Amino acid sequence: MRNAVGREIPERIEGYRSVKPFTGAFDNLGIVTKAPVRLSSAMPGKAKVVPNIRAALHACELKDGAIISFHHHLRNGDYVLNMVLEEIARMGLKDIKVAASSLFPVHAPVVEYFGQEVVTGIHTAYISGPVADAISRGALKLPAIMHTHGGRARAIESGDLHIDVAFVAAPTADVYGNINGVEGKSACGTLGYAAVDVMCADWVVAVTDNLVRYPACPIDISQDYVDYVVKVDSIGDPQGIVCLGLRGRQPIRLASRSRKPRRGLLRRRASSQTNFPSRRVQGGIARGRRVFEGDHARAPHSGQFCIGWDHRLHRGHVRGRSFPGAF
Amino acid sequence: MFEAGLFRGLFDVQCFDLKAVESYRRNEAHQAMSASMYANPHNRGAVVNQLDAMILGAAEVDLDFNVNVTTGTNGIIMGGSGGHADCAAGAKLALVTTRLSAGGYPKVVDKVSTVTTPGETVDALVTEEGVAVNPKCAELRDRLRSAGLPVVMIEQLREMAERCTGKLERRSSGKRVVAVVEYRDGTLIDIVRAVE
Repeated sequence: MRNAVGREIPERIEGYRSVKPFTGAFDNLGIVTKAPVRLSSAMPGKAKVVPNIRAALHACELKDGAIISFHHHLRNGDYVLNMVLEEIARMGLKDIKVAASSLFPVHAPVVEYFGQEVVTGIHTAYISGPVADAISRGALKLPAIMHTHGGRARAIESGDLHIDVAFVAAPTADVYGNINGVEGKSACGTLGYAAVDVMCADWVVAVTDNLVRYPACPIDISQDYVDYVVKVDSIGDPQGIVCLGLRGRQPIRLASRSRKPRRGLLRRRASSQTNFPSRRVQGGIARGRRVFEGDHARAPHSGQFCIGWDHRLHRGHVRGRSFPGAF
Repeated sequence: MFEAGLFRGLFDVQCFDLKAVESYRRNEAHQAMSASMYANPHNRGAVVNQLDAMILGAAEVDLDFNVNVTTGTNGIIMGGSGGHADCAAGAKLALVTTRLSAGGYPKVVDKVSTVTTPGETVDALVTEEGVAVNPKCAELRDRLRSAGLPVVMIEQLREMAERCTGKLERRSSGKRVVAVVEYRDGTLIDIVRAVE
């Protein structure tokens, strides 16, 4: 069948749920329902800290075929996904589906688990590096499901993507599961991707390298969403969250005849509707840093805007081709 | 810029560098948002719906303004939407910026190798050789013209790109579906087949 953007989509895709073709960007909004959440209530006196990943996997009754989730707040510096899968492989579990909000070159060890069918499915909004190459070559048993960041949240909340166990790389966690992203040696800031997973998963495991006394302060993800806490040596390298390639980019400039008018692009459109701060929006490969510089930037303006960031920067493998994206 | 008072507030689902981490720790107006608050099309209103303008990148853009940020010219997966399709759908003005070509390949093409973001949510394409406006945005096109901007047809940009690089010849792909590309509402916008 042909969808609304003219793409030929098979009626059935082996290993994927029933096909619903795209019919238009705003076709499926309206009354929706969220899936009920199943959780295990805590008896008073329950100790949430378990000695290691394996103990957490046992406690969450992880089985063959389970869907486990990870967030990408540590981006290309994340150690937790590899650490958990290594333990899963050692335990001899099979047919695991990995729902990671994004996958980076640091997750290369996952490819090894495709062949052994430890991992047979991937759900993600972004993949770069060896995992992407392996999927493109057909190394993964089931078709990878690629969604948008918002689509992932929708899928999780609606029950389209049911998470059995969510693993949260937690820069700081207290002994009863309160988490923040701003303290500890692996501080990565906000935890907005993990926030959706913990609200809907059957089980939630915080993996931290900064275990603190109760209560952690501040709290980004609270104890009522967390079943178990595991202390490890390191959850990742916070330097890995930095996008190095961004610095080297040349801005795109319009050909000289049009330099001046181009600055009006946003201003004109903005003047009546949005009052968008237009000065020196260079655009180019969408990048944030140099967009508003200099005195003009300080003139009063208002408006809401967003600048896409390039994930594709941790990628020696792409041979320097520019490949911009968003978040 | 935030600490210099340029912005009244800042939302982050995640932080992209350690300075942002520090800012989130220090500044109350630097707020966290969940992925659902950010971009879930089915909630009671996502942050993307509040965007006045969104500047997006592209690996390829086609004559229907569809954008690919999922696969490279060779058909190999090298990314994915992230929030690309979400922000394009939500923003009042969605601009895609790209060079006409990169690495010897045209970036404005007849048909993108994979559709990540549908053209109906993209307002204009900005390149170094001119600005192409989606035909559905006639008012925007007129305003840009009257502002003296070099508004061109997207077909002209494709021709200019091909003049630099030669016509794009895609490698044939295999039969097997290795990835499905879901739009934000969960419907299938495209599929990716194995690379031979």
